[in-house]
Amino acid sequence: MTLSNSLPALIVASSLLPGLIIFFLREGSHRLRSVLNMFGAILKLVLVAALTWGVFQDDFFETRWQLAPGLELVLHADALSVLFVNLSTLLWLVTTVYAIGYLEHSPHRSRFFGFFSLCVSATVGLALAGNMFTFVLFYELLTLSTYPLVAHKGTPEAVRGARIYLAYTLSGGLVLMLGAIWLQALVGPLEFVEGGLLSQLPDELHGQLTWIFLLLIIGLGVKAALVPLHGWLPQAMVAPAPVSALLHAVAVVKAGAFGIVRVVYDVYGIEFASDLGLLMPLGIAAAVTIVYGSIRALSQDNLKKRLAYSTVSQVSYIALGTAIFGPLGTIGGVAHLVHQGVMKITLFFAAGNYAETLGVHQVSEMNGIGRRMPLTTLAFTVGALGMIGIPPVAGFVSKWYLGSGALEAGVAHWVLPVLIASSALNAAYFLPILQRAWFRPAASSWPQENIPARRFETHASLFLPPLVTAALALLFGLFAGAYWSPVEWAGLIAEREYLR
Amino acid sequence: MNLLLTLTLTAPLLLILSGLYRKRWSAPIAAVPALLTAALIPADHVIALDWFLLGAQLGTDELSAWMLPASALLWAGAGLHHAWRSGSPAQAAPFRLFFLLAMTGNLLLVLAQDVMTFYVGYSIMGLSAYGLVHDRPSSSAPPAASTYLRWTIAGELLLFSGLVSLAYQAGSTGFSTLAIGQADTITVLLLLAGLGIKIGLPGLHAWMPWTYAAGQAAGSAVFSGAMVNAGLIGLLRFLPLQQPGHAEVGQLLLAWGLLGAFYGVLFGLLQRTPRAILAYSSVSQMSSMAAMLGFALIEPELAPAIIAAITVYAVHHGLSKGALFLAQDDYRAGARPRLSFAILVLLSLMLAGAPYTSGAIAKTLIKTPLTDEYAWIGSVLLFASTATTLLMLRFLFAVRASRRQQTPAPLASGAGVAIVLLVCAHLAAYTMYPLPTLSLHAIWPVILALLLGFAFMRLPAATRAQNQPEPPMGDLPTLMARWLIRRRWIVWLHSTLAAEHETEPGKHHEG
Repeated sequence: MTLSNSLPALIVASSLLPGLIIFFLREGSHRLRSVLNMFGAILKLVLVAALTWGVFQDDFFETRWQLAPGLELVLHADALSVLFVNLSTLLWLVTTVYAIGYLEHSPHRSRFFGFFSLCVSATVGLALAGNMFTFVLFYELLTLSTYPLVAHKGTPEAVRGARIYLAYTLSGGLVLMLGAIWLQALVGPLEFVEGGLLSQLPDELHGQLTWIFLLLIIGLGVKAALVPLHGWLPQAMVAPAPVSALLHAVAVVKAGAFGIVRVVYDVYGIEFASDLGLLMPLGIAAAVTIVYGSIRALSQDNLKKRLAYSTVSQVSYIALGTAIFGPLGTIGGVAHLVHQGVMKITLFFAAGNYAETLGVHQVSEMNGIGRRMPLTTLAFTVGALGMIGIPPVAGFVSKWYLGSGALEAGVAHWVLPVLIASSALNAAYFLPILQRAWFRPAASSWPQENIPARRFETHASLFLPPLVTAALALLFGLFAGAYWSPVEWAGLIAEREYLR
Repeated sequence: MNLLLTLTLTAPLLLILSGLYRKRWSAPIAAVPALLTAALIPADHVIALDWFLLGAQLGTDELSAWMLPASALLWAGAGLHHAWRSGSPAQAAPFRLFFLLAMTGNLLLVLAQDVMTFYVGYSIMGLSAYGLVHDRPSSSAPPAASTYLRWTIAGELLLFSGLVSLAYQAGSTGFSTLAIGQADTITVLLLLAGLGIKIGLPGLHAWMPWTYAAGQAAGSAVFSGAMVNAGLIGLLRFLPLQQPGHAEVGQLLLAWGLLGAFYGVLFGLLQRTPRAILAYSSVSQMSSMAAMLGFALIEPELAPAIIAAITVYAVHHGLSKGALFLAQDDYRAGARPRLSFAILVLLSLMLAGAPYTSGAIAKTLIKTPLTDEYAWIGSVLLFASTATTLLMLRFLFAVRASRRQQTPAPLASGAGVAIVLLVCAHLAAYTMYPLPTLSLHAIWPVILALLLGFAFMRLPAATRAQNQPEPPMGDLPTLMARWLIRRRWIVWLHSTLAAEHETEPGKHHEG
């Protein structure tokens, strides 16, 4: 057994095994659970670093198990999966620190962290999935492991939100499975290959392939929250803050968006998808989602709900970039996979800090909160400016590439207005929050001040994670030209997708 | 050299990060490296930073060699005045924070040698300046700041679309390649609209009087000098000035600018707030420059001479306008009122283009490239000078009326800084245009305006209508926004969409 055929499996196992052990820990063994969590998260980071270096050098990493004839579990590392694995591993580490602080005194922590680890394992698994079967398997596992996390608080509201989530995602999963089975029936077991394989099929199958594409995109679109399949996302914000953070930035929503990228680039191939005329409808669906999500976000007073609708909008930038034919659009969409992740997780961490420290849940309660919690609000500000697309935060770079890509593909006449409208709407629902937080005087008391201001504004494990992710969002934008930036890596992906 | 260049851009940020921005002297000190860079670094020193943004180029070329000293002087001078005049250090700390951030953005865009770096600086400057407008918790600051922010965001989004297309069509983001690339008309119009908001072209100027009248004088000084020039730098860099084929846009800009030269004066005369009058004067002056840019688009072979003239004009206007705000602040506060009023008179004469001032040189330079066919533009600009003189006369009367009767007087820091800026404006102008060739004929517009003003003063009080209500700041766009906001469908849309259900005082001053 060499590193080249075991590393992908080890990476999945590094969160799966600690997670399984944590299920059996007693509630009180706080320290052991934290050690296990952190050990898994850091080990995964080291393994992923090795994998990244290897893939950068064009080394080959693959783990294969034959389950049954025609059913193979394949974990394979290519440039795209490495990008997503890096994102989820890095943000999992940060979120684990945050969750340990956040849930310090709440019940059912073993259950929580167990499912939390499962959820990350599933995400990494589907990122590394080397064929459709493996992808669908981890996709469904992700659905199931996230359900208890959304319902974690156990309140009627939480249970209701989680049920809606389950209903949506299970139906979506079913549609995806249907599409995958149809595809397998048509062409046999299908591996993901840069550039896609389906273009070699005879012309008479093209009709069927279009229908399969529709099924796959609908299945994935539920998790990616494409309108009108987005209904579960605003309901799921009843989950605890760390879960929302992971859900919106890394795990569920991203899994959907990542799946769309996979299907278009590595199953159909971007050129074949363009020939079939599939990109335009996908682009329109993304554009509608981008504008619709932002318009709904305007009228939400609940902070987490406003952020949820913002996710609906922002994640579709990825689908939009995928639908824009040409390397620049690809770079914009794929880089936004990471950019949106670090920015949105920052915003949810900050929202969690406001709720946990001061009991502030509504935007209208945020007057003067910048003076009480300056570091958290600073992080929130960076995230919000990035979402609008204000430089030098990372979101600006995605927007620049999406705009350039639209010009390259000759679709600027409708893509640029969508980008501009989205930025304007983002400004309209984020800037008033910043104005309240920094420039308005605070009310005489906070709704429910749980953690008094001592040396720091709140617990260190709560305010440090958003600072780290905000710094990442800033660095990814400021140093977009550096070789380690997501944009550069997205450039590598685009190069391999279009040249092979 | 490169160390100095780096320090120029990082000094304000270092002061913020180290917490030293809480000290009042941080504001002027932050601009010192910029002053040194302006003095020491030659005019074609560019460094490439591949890892920064998407590969940035920073340094000095002909344009930034003029604009950097002007900007640095304005930031240093305004910072100095702020340091002397501000209240307790803690109270003024937020102002300084935003002042330093805006300074970083401004210096970055002046030194930028590629599209993206320019936009990053422009955007940082525009957004941070919100904190300069929203400075005092007075009743006028928040609506002024909201107005400012809406227009700024709109301008930046338009500019973004323009720059993305421009960079894509040129195939690169470096300024050196932009000159060769071909930009289509939509791109040029997007750039014009985006940057037109910053320089206050008529119709896009509604935020300007609000913004200049709110906040500290130091803020207004950098707004009217350094930041307004940022818009002009953008136009000089991005408009296809040396390429044929943009005559239609040129004619549009020429007409728009000439209209603005009088529009600004007309609505400025109706104002009573001194700082708002200065804002309208900026609308008028920047519009004159924009008109000449339009002429350059029509006659591309004359563009180099026009660009050079506009550069000098912008430096002269920026320095003298900034100085006007600072000296006016002194006069209002009762610091050396006679001295500061004398300086205000002198500065007003400069703006009016009185003989031998930097204004006269700027106005002569800008008319020199005009061909016979377009000689009428020179006559129009001559009338614009008369109009400007009238407006400055109005300003001086308004200043006298606005003086607070209070003693003891604080230090006359504004007047002191204003003298330095005034001298520098002349130094800049005279390096371009030696003294003996100037003639006295520039006196005519001034004398004509003084006669008109005198005649107006002799009119019976009733016809002068001194007590009529003045039009709101931002005039026609503001009135239109107020009219719109009362329409039923707008109200419906607003109540359906708006997240901020509480009504803020004066939120709807304009849209």
